[in-house]
Amino acid sequence: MALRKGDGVKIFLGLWIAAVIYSMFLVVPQYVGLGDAGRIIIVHVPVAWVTTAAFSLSAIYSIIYLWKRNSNSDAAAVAAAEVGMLYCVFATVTGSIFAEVVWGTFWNWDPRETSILVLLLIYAAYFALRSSVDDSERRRRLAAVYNVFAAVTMPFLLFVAPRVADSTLHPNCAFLQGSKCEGVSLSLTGAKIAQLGDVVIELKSLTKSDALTQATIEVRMPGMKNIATLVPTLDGAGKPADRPEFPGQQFRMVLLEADTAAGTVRVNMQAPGTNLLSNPRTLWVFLASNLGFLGLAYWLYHIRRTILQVQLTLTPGEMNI
Amino acid sequence: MTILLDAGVAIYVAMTTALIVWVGVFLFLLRIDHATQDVARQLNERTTATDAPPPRATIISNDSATQ
Repeated sequence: MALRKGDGVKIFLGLWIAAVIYSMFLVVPQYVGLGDAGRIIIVHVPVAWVTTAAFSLSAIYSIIYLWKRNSNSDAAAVAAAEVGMLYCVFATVTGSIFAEVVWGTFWNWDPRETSILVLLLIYAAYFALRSSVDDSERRRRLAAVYNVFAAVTMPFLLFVAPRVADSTLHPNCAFLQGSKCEGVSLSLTGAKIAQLGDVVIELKSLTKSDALTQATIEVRMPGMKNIATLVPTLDGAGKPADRPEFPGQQFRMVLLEADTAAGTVRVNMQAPGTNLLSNPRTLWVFLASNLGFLGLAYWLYHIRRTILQVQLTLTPGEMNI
Repeated sequence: MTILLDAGVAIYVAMTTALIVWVGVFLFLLRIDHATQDVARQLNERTTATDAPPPRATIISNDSATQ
């Protein structure tokens, strides 16, 4: 296969993504609680983000089509929606693999899993709509209107719904009702009892030995007969050390701050993977992955759009998609 | 085959597999990209040739020229 003018950028993209794959396995460190499975985040999250970009681009072209009635804009909207769909499926599959390794099942109707499935169905309906109308002008008009409404639901499904849900296995500090991701404060002399999600916690004691600060916290959960005691700790540098798991749950309790003199602590609930990007190596590879998958999406979009435009030129008005 | 699943080896196996898949996908995309460019260019050339105005010439006969 002979190389051509313009292939340099594509080869650079190919090498870039190859470097991301290499780094994902050999540069990014293992994350405590997730093991090697945590590496999939480097692909899973950027692909999900690029999905939103592709669907948004598709909606923009649909609006342009409704405004100017230019069939090329409709072709661009279809190309972007197809790339978005492909990425959405890829994000769902990588998420399911992660879920099987870490949570023990490919699918557990977690709020974020459910919302991405709904999004997939919404865009599957977009393509079903396109194939169900024979008249090309009508098909384009209806599909464009539908596409705009589909894009309006996207931010709600991807960003709002999973965060307002009562509980999710996804790393998400905002799952606590009314939380600002800051956790809750407890005091030995003041408010000893607080609620984390649907878990009631009570501070029993706060001790400091050597370089370790220990908080003893009683936990009562719905449907739990006995009270459990968790002992999260802070190391000498004031960073969370032990993060005990809530009984029968995937969540962990983390001690964010402790003042032994005043007898106050600030604690929060964390899912495995929270703060994954606080490691600089992971962060840089993650950002590189975002750029790589964005570039790949643009390339796919460009190829598909060219094919659709060729089809339009050959058979004007008869683009069978 | 079980050696491929050993903790120290598995990660290299996974990385190699992912890289091989990516190289395959990349080459496939590059081929499709080239083919698409060719078709688009040929179609453009054909459309341009069809749309070009017919050549015009004024034929002046000897008779009219002498008049």
